[in-house]
Amino acid sequence: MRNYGITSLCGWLLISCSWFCLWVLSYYFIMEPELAILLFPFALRLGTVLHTPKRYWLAVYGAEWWLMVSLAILLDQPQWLSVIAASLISVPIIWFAQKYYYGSQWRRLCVMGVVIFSTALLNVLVFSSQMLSSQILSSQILSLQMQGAQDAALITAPLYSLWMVFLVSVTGGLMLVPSCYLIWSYLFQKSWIPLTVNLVSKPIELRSRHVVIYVVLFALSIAAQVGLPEELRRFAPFCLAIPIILLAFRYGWQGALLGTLLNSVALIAARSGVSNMEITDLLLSLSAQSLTGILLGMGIQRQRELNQKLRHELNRNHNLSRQLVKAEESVRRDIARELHDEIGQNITAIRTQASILKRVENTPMGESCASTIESLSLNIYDTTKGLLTQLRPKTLDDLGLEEAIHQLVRELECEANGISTTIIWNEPTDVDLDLSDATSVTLYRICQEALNNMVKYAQATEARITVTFEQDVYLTVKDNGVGFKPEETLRGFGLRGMKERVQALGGEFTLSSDSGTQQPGTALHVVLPKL
Amino acid sequence: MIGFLKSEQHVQPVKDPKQIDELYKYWRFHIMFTMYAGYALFYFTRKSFNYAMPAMIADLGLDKSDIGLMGTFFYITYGVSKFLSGIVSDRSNPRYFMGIGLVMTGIVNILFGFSSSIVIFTLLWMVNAWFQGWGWPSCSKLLTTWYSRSERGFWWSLWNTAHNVGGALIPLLVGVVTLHYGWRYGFIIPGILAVFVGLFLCWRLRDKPVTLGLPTVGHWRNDTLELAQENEGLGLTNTEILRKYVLNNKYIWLLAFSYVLVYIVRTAINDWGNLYLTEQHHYSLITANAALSLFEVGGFVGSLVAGWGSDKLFDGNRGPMNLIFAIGIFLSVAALWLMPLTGFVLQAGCFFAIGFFVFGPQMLIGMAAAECSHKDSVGAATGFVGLFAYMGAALAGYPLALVMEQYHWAGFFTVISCAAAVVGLLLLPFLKAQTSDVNVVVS
Repeated sequence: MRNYGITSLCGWLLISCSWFCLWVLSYYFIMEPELAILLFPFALRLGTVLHTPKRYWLAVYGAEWWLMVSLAILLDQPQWLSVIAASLISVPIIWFAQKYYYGSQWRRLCVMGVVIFSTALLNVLVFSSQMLSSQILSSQILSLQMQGAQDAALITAPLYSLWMVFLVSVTGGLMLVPSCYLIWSYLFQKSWIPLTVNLVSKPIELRSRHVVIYVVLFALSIAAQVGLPEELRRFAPFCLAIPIILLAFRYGWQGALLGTLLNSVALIAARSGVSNMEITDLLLSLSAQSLTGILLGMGIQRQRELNQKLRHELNRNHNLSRQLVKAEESVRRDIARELHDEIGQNITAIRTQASILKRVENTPMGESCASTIESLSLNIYDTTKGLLTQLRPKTLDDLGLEEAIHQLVRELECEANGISTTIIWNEPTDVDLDLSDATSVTLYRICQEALNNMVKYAQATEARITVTFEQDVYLTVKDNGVGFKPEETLRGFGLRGMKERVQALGGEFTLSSDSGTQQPGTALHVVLPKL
Repeated sequence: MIGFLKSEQHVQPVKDPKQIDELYKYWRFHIMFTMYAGYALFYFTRKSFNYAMPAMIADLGLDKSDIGLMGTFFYITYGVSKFLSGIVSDRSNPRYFMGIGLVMTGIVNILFGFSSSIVIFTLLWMVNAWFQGWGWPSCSKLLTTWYSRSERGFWWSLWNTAHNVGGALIPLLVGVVTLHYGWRYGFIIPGILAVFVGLFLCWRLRDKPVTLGLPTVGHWRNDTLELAQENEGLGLTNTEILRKYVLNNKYIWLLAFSYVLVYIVRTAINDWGNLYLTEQHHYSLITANAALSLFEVGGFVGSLVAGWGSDKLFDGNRGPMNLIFAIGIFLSVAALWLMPLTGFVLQAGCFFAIGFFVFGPQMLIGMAAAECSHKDSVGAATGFVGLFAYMGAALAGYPLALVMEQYHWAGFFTVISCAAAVVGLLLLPFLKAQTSDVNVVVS
């Protein structure tokens, strides 16, 4: 209870002081004490109350009421009933709005917008009813004394000021309520740890470059608003957009709001006169730029969030396809082992049995059956062996990547086909090379596919395979053959499959070919992450 | 250093917990009271000149520029003295340090009352500034050794209001005395009071709790943060402590720079406020001074609110409250500047608001400096930022007068509103430094 009392008292003092200063500031540029209350002070109260637990509302509203009453007495304006009524009526609205005021910042911003506009409309209502009653009074008095000319003036004047009431309330709300949200979320929503001596070891995070840039920007914007000559009047508003866009781009809607607040200072500093029209112009430009700033910032932030999500999904996608490749390889390896171990042995057994049968059996029928069995099983053995090499390059497991590629060149009989092949192997000596299975199999298969194509179609005389291990693995296969037309690139199933596989592993695959030029040939560049 | 100024040797520790509690409670209350009275009296002997000045000008025909120069000399000497005596006071007994300082300022004030030449005035006033600097570091040492981390905001802010009480009483006292007995008594009477209170301080103040045989306040209140600070950097020599925790502590430098700006605003409003009111709003001197006294009242309230808020709302972290108050300084200075009406209550309200918002950071920055540094360099740290504060105060004197000559009151207010805005910017790294560790959003 004592704690509650002290908190309320301190809050009351803080709000009273800020309310009063804001009232003075709004009075300075509206030049009408009652309307001034609707501009910043009401917006401050709205923003504070929206972010305060209900039990402290008395302190906030108390500050507002005592200041309104004492200012009315001080300025000798007893007809300030309508502002007090407007203040009272706002209580149930905010009470209601606070129920929906939770969750994401988008939701909160929407609630803020609704509250700002509905309280502004209510202010208009309250003021219009008061004007109506006072008008009836005054017209009764007037009708006794005066004629039509003054009546017309009386009817148009309140309409104008009702518009002002609305404009003033909305402008103040747009500027201050989101700022209150910012202060609330940055200062009151964090759990603070006290300052300690440990700070000594902590570097200072003062982004002085940013601060300087924004200060210069702000100074330029004030200079542009104040200093631009009358002839460049159209240009001045565009200058306001620059800091907003910059800050919105950098920090989302919060940055944009900061930009609009700085702009407001610039606009207020540059204001030219105090006539009604000029004040309307100022208020309109203030609220327009606040609104654009916040909406623009929200848009940018939304885009950025979506982008972030997209990037995340893309990453996930990459990982999934990588795993797919890995899973495929491991299934192939398992099947290959099974095939090799089980079928290979059994076929050997069958062949042995068949040859025993051939020797033991002396009927020609049985002998031919036995030799058929033997040749058939030999067939199966060959097919299986072919399957095995397709499924899983056995040499890779036995010899390692480098030897396996050498072996590949020998197997394809490159030399016999008139292709002299060089293999350049750049392996770091200091770091232990640790290739994942998927990577080495992919590298091997790409070499296999490329060499196959070369032997079959390229009519090359020279070929060069370069493998370099750095952060990633770089593989280049180059020949001086006839090349092929670009549209034929990747027509074959083999290379396209390779390309998809490389991309799934997060690598790059480029195939370039020159046919018909001075130096024909085909070059294949692959970059694969080591994983 | 004279023997008895040295920090006392530790006596036999008190073992009985009940006795410890009693001793602590007794001395915490009495030390607060004594410090409060002592510091308010320091204000009496510091500000006597400002309020007796109009009578002195009339009586001796002093030149205004001489007085401005005296003010600048005073502020600079005071700042330097604060820093140097801060270093010394970390190793000495605040009981005698503060007491003797106050007695000396009293004596200087009495001597001042008997002099008539501007040279002697200037010299005496610089001597006064020198001894004035003995007050603050001693108080900050007492405040950090007798009151622990989690409650310090409140106690420090309570003590801080001595600034305002002293500042509000002295114009009344000097005004009345000068009116009835002449300006000389305007110095002699505060001087005599200061001598007596200084002797009282020597009698009633105590050194650190440890020298009374009590456990440290961190142990007594079982305050983990306090204990952490007590255990930081044990076994370093004094020069190492000074270098590591004060001179090479970047956060202390940040605090020092923002303190410069806060003091520009404070001193500018305090020293030029009545001139602004009389020139711009055509107040009489009496009403202008009355409006200005609201500045002190606002400061009284503001420092209590700031201290309490930083303890309760932000768990003893001074950063967020500082930022809120810095925004407030900006708004209130702008309000005073742009106020389109003339009315005593309106202007006084503005002064109240400025006082309210200025004295928040005025106190919190000093406290933060004490808390960011080593337990044994508290006096030096606060003295260091105090040195910068009074450089700011000196800037608000003659240099600001030059600005005003060129650009009038618009220039004056532009300078102090910019200063207010930059205070907020300089304090931002503190928010960063603390939130980078823990960033839990409680919704």
